[in-house]
Amino acid sequence: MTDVLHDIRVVEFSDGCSSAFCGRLFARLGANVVLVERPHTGSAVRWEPPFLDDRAGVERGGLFMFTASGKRSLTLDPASPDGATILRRLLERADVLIDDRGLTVDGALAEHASPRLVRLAFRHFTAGGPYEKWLATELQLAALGGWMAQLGEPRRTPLVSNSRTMTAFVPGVIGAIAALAAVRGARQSGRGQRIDVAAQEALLFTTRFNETFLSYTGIELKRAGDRYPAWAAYRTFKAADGDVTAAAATDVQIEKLMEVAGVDDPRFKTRKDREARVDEFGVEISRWTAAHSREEIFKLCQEARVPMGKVNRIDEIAAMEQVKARGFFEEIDHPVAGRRRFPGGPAKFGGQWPEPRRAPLLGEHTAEILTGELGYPAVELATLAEMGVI
Amino acid sequence: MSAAPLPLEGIRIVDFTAYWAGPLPTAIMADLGAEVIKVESIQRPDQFRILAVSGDPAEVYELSPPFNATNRNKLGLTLDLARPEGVRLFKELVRRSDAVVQNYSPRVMPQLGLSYESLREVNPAIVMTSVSGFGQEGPWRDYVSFAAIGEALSGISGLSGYTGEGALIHGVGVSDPFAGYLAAFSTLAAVHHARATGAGQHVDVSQLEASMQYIADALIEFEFTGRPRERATSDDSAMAPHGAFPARGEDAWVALSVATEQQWHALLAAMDASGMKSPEWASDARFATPLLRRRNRAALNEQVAQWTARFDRRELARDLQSHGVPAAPVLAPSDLLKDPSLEGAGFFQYVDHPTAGRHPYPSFPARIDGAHPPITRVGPMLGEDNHYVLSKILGLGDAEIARLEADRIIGTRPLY
Repeated sequence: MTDVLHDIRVVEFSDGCSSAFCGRLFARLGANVVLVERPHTGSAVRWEPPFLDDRAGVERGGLFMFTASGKRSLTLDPASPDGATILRRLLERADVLIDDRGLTVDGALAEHASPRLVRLAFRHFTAGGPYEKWLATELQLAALGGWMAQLGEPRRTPLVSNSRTMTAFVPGVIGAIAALAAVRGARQSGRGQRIDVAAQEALLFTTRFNETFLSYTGIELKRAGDRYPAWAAYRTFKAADGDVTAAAATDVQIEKLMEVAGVDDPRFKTRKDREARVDEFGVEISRWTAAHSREEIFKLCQEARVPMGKVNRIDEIAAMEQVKARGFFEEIDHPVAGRRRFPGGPAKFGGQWPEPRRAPLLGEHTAEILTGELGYPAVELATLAEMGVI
Repeated sequence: MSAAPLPLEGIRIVDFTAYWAGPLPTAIMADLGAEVIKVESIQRPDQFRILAVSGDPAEVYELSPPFNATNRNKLGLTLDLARPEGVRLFKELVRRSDAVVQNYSPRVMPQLGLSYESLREVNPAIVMTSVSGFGQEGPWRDYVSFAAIGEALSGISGLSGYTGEGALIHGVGVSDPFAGYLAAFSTLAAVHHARATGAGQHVDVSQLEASMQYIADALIEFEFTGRPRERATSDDSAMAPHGAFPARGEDAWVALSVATEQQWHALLAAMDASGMKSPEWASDARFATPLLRRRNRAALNEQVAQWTARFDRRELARDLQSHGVPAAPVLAPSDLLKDPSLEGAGFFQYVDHPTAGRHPYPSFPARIDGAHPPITRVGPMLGEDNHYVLSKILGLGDAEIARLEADRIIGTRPLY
């Protein structure tokens, strides 16, 4: 059973990728998610790359197709009186409002919404704080959220990974967890809570508790290039055809790695020895990895229960035997994009993936929701459209 | 801070986890009000207690910063699950709980006699969430994984590093929390369903699959355009300059982005206002349009870096922001402990621990009715709540608890 959230109604009033991923998680598990979009141009996520054949268009955005999987689209101008009424009526019936367009700051909303509505708002920085008005792309969020200081060579430019969703989805999933918990609370108490997620905090929570570590030990952990500081075999090595990553943490794992790599050297007998000669140890292991392919190293090590990974290129991901065996990627038909392959998720339930569902076309469900669910007579739809409300 | 009721009060979770990817989702549920019972044994405590600290394991097992941080708000129980008595008590807990979260290799639970099927016999509504490197089936199901492995295989490492150079390790260790977050959401969703229908289920979260979901943009780009994205020093194809630039002092950086023509002129205005005359390169034909700036990025970055290097990173960021340029200082752990935005929000909570003392711990990063959920305790210490759990939840008498202790089914000191 994967549609475990089928009795939850979500209204998503959003433009950002964090909200979009949050809404996706609900929709994937069967919640009834209505995405409220602008007439004509739709959600801003529709205009985020990548695009089908690199051509932007309202129905061509790949990130939108991924994040909006299973949602319904309603177009609406909330600034018009009729638009505001429609939105209010949607919210009267909803369990969760996902908002990054500032709707929750409007006091009128709280007055009219159902008391059990969980109001989830995303912003970059805490309201009232010194960065409240700061402009930010993912880069500034990664800088202030503690991520940049943890990626790169020690004396060179700190980095972010070359994926915007990697940072943007983190606040999204945090908000989804908190909102789902709050739905449970609201069903118990009859009162929906207000949830505020600041991206800076969500990213920082996702680091390894480095601040706590600093407080305990006086040691400040920062980026260490191709390795994790001070661990002898938690690092990348050069293989004949690219990189591999070892994450050997325990002594047993490291000794197994030495065995597989044929390193039998009195200099590296104990953990202390290895930590004292981290670089020399790396040279010995590298001698072996350089002579083998990534695939060979991965298989030989894993069969010996050594945590080893092959550093895959993006074009190799879908071809991994485990990924194929599990059926992680799903194929979805879309009227404009055709049949395309998307990452699935979030998890298997009872051995099943959630059902693949396509993203809605802009305003595809406006009529269905207004007449079928909110009781507007069909004849009024034409008037609303003419006035630019929907 | 107001004491808002926590939304998961009344939910009970059995936490049989180690390291980070498993303990993190249960910590989140504990923060949100669930009663979480962390099960270890004196025979096999959570390895995270000793891996992250140096020193004799028998001395340091209560002093691990990441262990104490990742297991906050939980009750600590020890049970030797290698013996029938331990397994029986575990099942008694399952009978009284909503979910079990575990992150051992797929072989372990069945070996202990604690497969999902056997737990369901005890409690049909139980949700069991298994977090593993590669999932509960498939050719790699028994392979070993830590964060860096998930990052390597999923494609994250293929996107992490300098242009044209090798893969780097994420000091953040993203694969573990990425899986942990999806595990928390999926567990709560299954519990929601189980509470309504009485039907539990087995939830299967893989670190590899979790990691792939977070780089959806790169995976879909390949599907839509055939271009495999690679590592890049400056991450965004549409912006230049874009990246971290050196500021005054050691390892001091400012992250700045110029996305629009307006922001480009704002950057030039900020340079003007800084007392530096509009440099010749600002009117350089190589930098006249966004596309040209992108194309001649190396030269542009060098010029910008010469300017930024003269200033303090915080002042420079504030100044650029006041002109309308997205900019921020790159903050390291010591900066973050004193960051005014986090401080104002009360993000780090200072909590006492009997042996580790008083230290800062990050809040769950959402405010509920205006306040972060409180961290009332960290740890727990090994077996700290044996008596409470066994007597108050399972209803055992003192004599029986003493016998379990004598038999080393429970205990409070590891048998290292």
